[in-house]
Amino acid sequence: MADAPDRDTDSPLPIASTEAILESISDGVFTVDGDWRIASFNRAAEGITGIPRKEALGRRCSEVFRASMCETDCALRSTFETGAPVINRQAFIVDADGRRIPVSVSTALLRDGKGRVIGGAETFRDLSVVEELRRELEGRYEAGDLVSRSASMRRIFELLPQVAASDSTVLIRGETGTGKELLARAIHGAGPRSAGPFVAVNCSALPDTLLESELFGYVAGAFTGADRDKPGRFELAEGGTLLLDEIGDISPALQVRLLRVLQDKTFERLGATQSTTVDVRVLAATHQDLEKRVRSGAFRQDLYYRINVVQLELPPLRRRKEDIPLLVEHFTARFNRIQGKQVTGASPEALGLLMAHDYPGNVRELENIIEHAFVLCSEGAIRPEHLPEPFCADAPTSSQTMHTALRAAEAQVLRDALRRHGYNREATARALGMHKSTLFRKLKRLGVTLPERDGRNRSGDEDRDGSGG
Amino acid sequence: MRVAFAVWNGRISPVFDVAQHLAVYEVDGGSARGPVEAGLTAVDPGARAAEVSDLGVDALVCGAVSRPLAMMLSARGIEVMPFTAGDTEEVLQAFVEQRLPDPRLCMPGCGRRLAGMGPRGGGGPGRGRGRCGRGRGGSGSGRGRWQ
Repeated sequence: MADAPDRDTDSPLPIASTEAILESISDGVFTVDGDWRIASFNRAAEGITGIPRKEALGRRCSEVFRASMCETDCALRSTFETGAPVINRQAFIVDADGRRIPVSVSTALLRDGKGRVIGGAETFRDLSVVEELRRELEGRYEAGDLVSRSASMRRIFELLPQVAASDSTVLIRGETGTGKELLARAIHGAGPRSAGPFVAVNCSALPDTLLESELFGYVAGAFTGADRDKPGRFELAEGGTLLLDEIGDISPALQVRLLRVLQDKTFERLGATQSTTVDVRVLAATHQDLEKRVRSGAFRQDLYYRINVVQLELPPLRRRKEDIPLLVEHFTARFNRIQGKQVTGASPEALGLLMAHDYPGNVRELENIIEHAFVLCSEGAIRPEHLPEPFCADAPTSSQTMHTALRAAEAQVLRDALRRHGYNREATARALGMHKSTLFRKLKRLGVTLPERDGRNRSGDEDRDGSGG
Repeated sequence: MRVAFAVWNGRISPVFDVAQHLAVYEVDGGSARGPVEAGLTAVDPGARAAEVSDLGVDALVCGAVSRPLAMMLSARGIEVMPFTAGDTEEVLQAFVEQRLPDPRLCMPGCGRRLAGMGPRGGGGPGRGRGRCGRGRGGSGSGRGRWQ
């Protein structure tokens, strides 16, 4: 460690007079002596780092503070070298529990009464809350192809590193199109098997016998047409990860075989006499209520417990609608890249329509909608008319969306009331609580046409039916 | 066994998440051969764990390390001895003599669970001991240091 410039280590640091202040502030403060050893350490510093003062005093500052800047870009060293303070430099520290804590660091030289440098002081502020708020406000969570700023997805992003690092079986639940395979890929990509293969099998897409040979492979002669050995997906995923998608759909017979592979990591290819051992991490995904299937006897309980070591649930898009603008942006960027277009995103009207939709097909449906829009739109913003049929049918064409909607609703109320009262204007006006001339004016303004028959000769008894909306 | 020490200025580097240099030794019985020096460049925890793993090391002695990175290292079967502090030679000697974890070679704030710890040995796969103890990856059963 480089020496700090001229310092007289015999001079007492001016701690005593300021101790009360230092102890009461919420910023962490420590001072170092000429050997880069901690000379004082306030209460907030104890709280932020998790290190008791008595353990910190006398130790090297880098081993106490443990900041990302210590090794390459020490703020205090820079202050010693230049004499200039560092103000609010961002870094993270690793506390005694292994948490990364974002901090902002400021430094200053300590001088004695004669102006001689006798050490340095460093103050640091815990930015965890600020960081959290920033993420809440504008940040996004991203892992592989999964993007979200939704609180409901946050737990998944927080758990992802730990889940990825372990070798446990993971059960991913979620409706169709919520991104179960993307999450599986993200788990694979962030884990120790990332260099190995990622193999996905959709268990509901294949008939049982075919699925069995697909998963476990076969040897030549196992059945008619099996003229040579074929490895199964388990073997193809050796050293990597195998995703069994829609695992709730597999037959009881296959469940037994699968259980054995998960327990012993061994299986036999169809027609083989020798067992094969594999080193594969298995991830399972389903949109079904597996507990219900276990209760009804359709899914083995032991297999359920075997695959349900860690469970991650992807919320449907309708429960995280705040992600729609982010996803639109994400898909727009991707299709621009793939198709070489310059689409800027969705117009406010189009985005309003997209936000109002319930997405039974979840994120995949939104992706398809954006892809559809890209066929019709090459540049500029995606507008309502670029959206598929159900959207553009409802599309407001002017910017006065609210005004138009109100007019349409008003006209509809009048038509309904007129119909209910047999087109008797007077009865209708009375039912709606307005004068007959007001009704006429409104009908004219809204362009509501009346049938030839005016209903004047009908009785007004039907007034009792209701107010007409 | 092959052991990597995260080093900086002749001491154990304070934060492994951003450490740039590894000194790799072959430790056999009571002696060590080496070091072979290696650089670390990855910032992402997964990639950093892969860099260490690619060196074929069995154990890593390092300073402070964030939890996700430690778990990724453990998951790759690397025995992590985190929150170690001190002169590299002294730490190496302690490792060779199976004296780690040693309260004198621990970072401040990490000694809370050191009481009662003996010298290393006896902790089988899946076990970890205390903050300055060692946690081995693998199947992950047992009580690791992060649990």
